[in-house]
Amino acid sequence: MSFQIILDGEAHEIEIIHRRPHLKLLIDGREHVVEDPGHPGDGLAHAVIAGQRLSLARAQAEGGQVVRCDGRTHMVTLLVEGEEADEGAALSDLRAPMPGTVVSLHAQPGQDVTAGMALITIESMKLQTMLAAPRDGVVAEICVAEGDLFEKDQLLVSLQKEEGDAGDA
Amino acid sequence: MRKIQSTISTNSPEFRQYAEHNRKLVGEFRQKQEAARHDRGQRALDRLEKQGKLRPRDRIDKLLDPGTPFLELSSLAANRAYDGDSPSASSIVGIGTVSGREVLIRADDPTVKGGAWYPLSAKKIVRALDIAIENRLPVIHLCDSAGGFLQLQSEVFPDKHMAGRIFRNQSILSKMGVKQLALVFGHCTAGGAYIPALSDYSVIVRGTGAVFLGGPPLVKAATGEDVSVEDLGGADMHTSVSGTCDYPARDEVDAIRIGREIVSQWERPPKWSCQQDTPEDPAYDPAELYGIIPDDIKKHFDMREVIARIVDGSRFHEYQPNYGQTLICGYANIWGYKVGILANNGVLFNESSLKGGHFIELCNQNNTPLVFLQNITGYMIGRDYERNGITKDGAKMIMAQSCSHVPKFTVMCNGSFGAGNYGMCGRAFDGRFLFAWPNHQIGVMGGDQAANTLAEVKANQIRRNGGTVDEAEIQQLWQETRRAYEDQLSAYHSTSELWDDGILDPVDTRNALGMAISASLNAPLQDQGFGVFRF
Repeated sequence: MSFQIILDGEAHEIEIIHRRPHLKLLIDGREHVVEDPGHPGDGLAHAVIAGQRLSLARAQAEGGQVVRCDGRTHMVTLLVEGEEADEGAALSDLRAPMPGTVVSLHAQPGQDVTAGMALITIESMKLQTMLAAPRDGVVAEICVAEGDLFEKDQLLVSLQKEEGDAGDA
Repeated sequence: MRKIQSTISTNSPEFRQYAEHNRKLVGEFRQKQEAARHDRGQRALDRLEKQGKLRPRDRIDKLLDPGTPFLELSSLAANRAYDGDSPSASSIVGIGTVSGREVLIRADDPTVKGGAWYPLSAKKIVRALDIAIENRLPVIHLCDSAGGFLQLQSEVFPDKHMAGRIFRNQSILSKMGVKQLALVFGHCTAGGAYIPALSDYSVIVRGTGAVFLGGPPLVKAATGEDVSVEDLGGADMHTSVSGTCDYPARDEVDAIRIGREIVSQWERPPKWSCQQDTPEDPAYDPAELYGIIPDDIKKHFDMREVIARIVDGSRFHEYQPNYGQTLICGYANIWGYKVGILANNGVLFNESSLKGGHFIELCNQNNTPLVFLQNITGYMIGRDYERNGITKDGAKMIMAQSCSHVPKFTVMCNGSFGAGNYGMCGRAFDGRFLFAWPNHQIGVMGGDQAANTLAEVKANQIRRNGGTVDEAEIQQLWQETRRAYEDQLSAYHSTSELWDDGILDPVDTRNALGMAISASLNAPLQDQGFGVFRF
């Protein structure tokens, strides 16, 4: 999960690497460990970052948050809340990226799958490629069998539509 | 730049299976390399000792600044030629540091057929001097060779890139102001005599060193003249009478001492300054590469995982991450040097070719050296792709790559098939250095495809001549063709023929590239400019 923030007019990129055992962030490409992020919301708060205790006060304002720390006042604006939005838009259909043959199938209709799980291995241009589930879901149909030839953009595997999916994804 | 987040699990059965496979391959490679370096007949070694000579690798050790690395190139050249009679093509080549100067060292190997040059020895020496020209690296020749291997003279002597090219390259180096030093430890006979003569400086060892166009037996045969080696071309004659050599040396150690002193007098021309940062180890262990490279050339792997184990801090700024995804492009640092990386992550499509061409232009505009990580089965083929101009899009990439004025480096990480080899800076495209991993395979097409095609052609021939071919015969034909073809695809065949600058243990890739990039900065950038791109 990644964000972009504007701190005093300068853009910074923040990525959450993991939350446990404690928060680890990638800020502009460098790793930082946050032992204690403090409580969220307005008012006084204490945080521990890279072993250093930090006192700060913050308040929601128009166009962002005002943070006072170490005797100075900063303005922070959250710009983009990245990848999550992308993942939500993942399609239900797995289509062939190029013509080729099916080498092996790794899932069955009705099976629960998670995003990134291998569904099917294809071979094209002397290279085997594993195609993965585009999102979490349940396999609705597998439209090809091992050894089948297929065309570019042919439907290979479809996932069951989820509530809120547009009619034809 | 962001750190690449690896998705590899080092505990997965797949990782372990690949790691075991690749460690075995690397073990075999190390074994072959050790043998090529050190396995010699006892007679040859005894003779060397009797003459008071050091082994060629000991000479190099004594020449290098203590504790500095030596990047040996093409250690397995000729490993598949001449029944293995010419280990490392009877010639040791590498880059190292002498008296604080980055130099190219080239040594004859007197432990094999008196250091005679086989055809591949000539090819290796010519390539070494090409490297010196392209990167403006001073050269130190350690001479001890009987001359061309007579039985194969037609393959050593006459053509453009054979032995004559050695002396042409030496002359060009001198014209460019790139220094050369020859240390004459043994005989420099016939053509080999020109090596010290064309070097700017030469040292010759009293008693064992000798330089002449024709040795005593040849002189006797040609003119009837009876003359000793010392009298004909020994150290004292050449340093006090003919002026062919500059300094006489007591023994080999003394010659190396004088040589190091000569090098310490040389100016240090300023290097071209590319963007640099403080070097930093990769965040992921390079040894994990063993578990990432698959055990089958056909299996796909994510090249980002490879990049993460080569570049500083595993940090990578990926260019156009969502476009033409089968070619990964982006900026990273290797040993502090900023580079632009192009890495195959599948077949090259129209979009990936355009992205590659565009990224190469960006790197040229920004004076950023290029690193190509090859694992390519080719440009996509088929009706739709041709209609979309896959051929002209591939041509754009080849044009941008060929005309690049920044230094280029290529690592063969797995397959290199078909025209993909061209776009990704294969051997023909004047990359400064090209290294290969032991699992590498190279050919105009894959083993299966070649076997299909060749077996089909043979079967048709038989049918045309009125014969019949049954299924079993076709199978046998296919198997035979495949085996023969597969043999040629191997990294050992490739490196034997000097289609690369040597096989690397994948773990050493980062260090080899670091030394190669550092060496390349000795040469100023070429003029910028491209040919006509077909749009």
